[in-house]
Amino acid sequence: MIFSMAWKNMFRYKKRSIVTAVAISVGILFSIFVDGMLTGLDQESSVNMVNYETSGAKVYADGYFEERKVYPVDFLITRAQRESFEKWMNTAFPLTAWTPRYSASCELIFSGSDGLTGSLTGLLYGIEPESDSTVFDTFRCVETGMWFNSKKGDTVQPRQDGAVLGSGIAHDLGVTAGDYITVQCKGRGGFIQTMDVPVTGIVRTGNPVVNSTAVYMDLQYLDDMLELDGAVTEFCMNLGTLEQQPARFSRFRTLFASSAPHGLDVYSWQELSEDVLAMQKTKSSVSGMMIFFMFVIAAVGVSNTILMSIAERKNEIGMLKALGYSSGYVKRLFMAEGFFIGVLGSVIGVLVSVPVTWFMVHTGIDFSGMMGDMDIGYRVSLVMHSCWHAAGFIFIPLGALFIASLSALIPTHSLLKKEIADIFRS
Amino acid sequence: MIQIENVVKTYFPDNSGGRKKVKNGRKDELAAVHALKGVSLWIEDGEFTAVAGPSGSGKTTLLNLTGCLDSITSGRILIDGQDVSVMNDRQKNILRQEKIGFIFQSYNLIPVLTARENVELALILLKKYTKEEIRSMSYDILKEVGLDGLQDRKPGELSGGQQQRISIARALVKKPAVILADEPTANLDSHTSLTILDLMKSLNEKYSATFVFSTHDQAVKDHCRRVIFLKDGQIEREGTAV
Repeated sequence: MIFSMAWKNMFRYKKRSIVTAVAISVGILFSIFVDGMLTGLDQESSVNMVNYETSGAKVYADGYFEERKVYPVDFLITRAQRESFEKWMNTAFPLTAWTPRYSASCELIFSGSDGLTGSLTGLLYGIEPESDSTVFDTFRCVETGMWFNSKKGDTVQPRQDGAVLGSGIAHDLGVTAGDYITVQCKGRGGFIQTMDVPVTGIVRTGNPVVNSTAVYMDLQYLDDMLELDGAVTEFCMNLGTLEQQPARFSRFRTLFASSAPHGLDVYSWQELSEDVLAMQKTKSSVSGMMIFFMFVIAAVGVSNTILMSIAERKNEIGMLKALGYSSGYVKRLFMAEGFFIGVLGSVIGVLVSVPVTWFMVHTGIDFSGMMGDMDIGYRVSLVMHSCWHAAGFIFIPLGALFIASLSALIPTHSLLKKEIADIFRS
Repeated sequence: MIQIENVVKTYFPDNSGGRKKVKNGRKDELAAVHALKGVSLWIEDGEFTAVAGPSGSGKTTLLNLTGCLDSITSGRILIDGQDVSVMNDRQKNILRQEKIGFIFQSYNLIPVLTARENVELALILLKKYTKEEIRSMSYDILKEVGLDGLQDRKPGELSGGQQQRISIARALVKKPAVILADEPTANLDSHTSLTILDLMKSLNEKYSATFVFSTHDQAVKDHCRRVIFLKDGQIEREGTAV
């Protein structure tokens, strides 16, 4: 009887119910949009972090991890450690792809044809182009020029002394493929080396930090120039997709601890990106609060609708009480009305959210024109995409239903505290 | 039987229960309204009684207290020997469900429910009848009050007199000991009022249910065997209207 009467009462005030339901549906649409966007950003950011920046895991020499933010040259993996590790990998994880890298901060100097000279600080990565391509996706993102190759006539040939730049840093310096730049960085022991190298390619990855800072050079070439003697700063591991990584990393770390060469430590990509992940988490909390406020607005809407409904139906409420119906029954009746308005709002909200999410997944919103290469914390390009987040589609409408039902309780409760005669009189 | 013993009802404007309140740093005694000032009377089973009097004399208050719609300041009211002044909300609910029927001046029907469903509301709570029995009892009582064929109409599709008939059917269907009717003819024209009063009189005779009206309608008083006149919250006199 409660549900039947509540259902009929909802249609008794059609316009008001529809306006409230639409307010709820807008709240749901906004919440699903924000939730899908945040989840999409988190996922894309994590993928871009792994594919272009951290890989699935990194192995450092003892002491490097703690100092990694200043790119020290004092904690290198030596040639002997490198050979032992290679041997160990071939035995323990023969199928896992990995690559050595030498990372250091550097100064890039470019003198343009107009006679102006500019310089920028960047991050120099010494890489093995072939093995690096089995761990990172950077080689797929060449925008202009080539990935450690150069073209002579119709022939493409590998080029060791070239540099590949991120699109952002290249743009800031005004460099294009084919230009020569000067790279200054610390060699082993702390001496400063200056190298004039041609830019063989420019990459635009999905990771804005890589685009705005990275300078890739051939590891073998750097080994000679920086007197590394086979030393590198890290090994980067390919541990598969994001979903596969936790289990694989756990197995890797266990075996690494028991049998890997001494003097090395392994860190997961989450440990390597804890600052970024913490920032993402903070942003998620702020957005969570936005969703909460949307729910508060929906609650106020439903509460107000029920309040008006109650004001017009005091005699009916008094009559129900006079017939012997309990206050609990009357509360449940109005909660059911709030619930049905919530159902209507949820259905509309979810139905509208589907095409909006589809658009956001497939097309997204391009903020690049407005924000350029601005670093927003997330490792995503400024074309922001959403994702199909099932939990959002389920729990946000459920939350709205709960709030809609509950918010009907507040105005009902205050009326039912009165004597029945007072209800008739008020 | 309804026993009303020295019943007092005092209203306080802010529901403070008579406590003193501090206003602008001074203690002010609230202006209390003494709606009933020690009313005592007995109403036997099956009586057809009117409580009459001018506006503000305490008629509706007396009915509200008898029907457990309001709480008594002091005194006692016993319905079938049960003292309502000491009952908690749950006990009062049960008493109203089983023993008291109400007929209101403005009918107080639920507009989204049909005539039959409005009547069924009074039976569903009792939990002694099956769904089929409830439906059949509602049909029968609506037929008896002259609404045969209109059972599935909603109140908005019926006239004022027909709506009041639904209200009477709703009060009678559970066969209560007492039916309290607050100005039942106030919203009806004189012809319809007489028809409704005749209907209630015949139902009173048929079911032996006690009817108590609050009214200042002469037609109602004319139909009642006993009329209690209230003035300023006290019984002024008693007798028949004619």
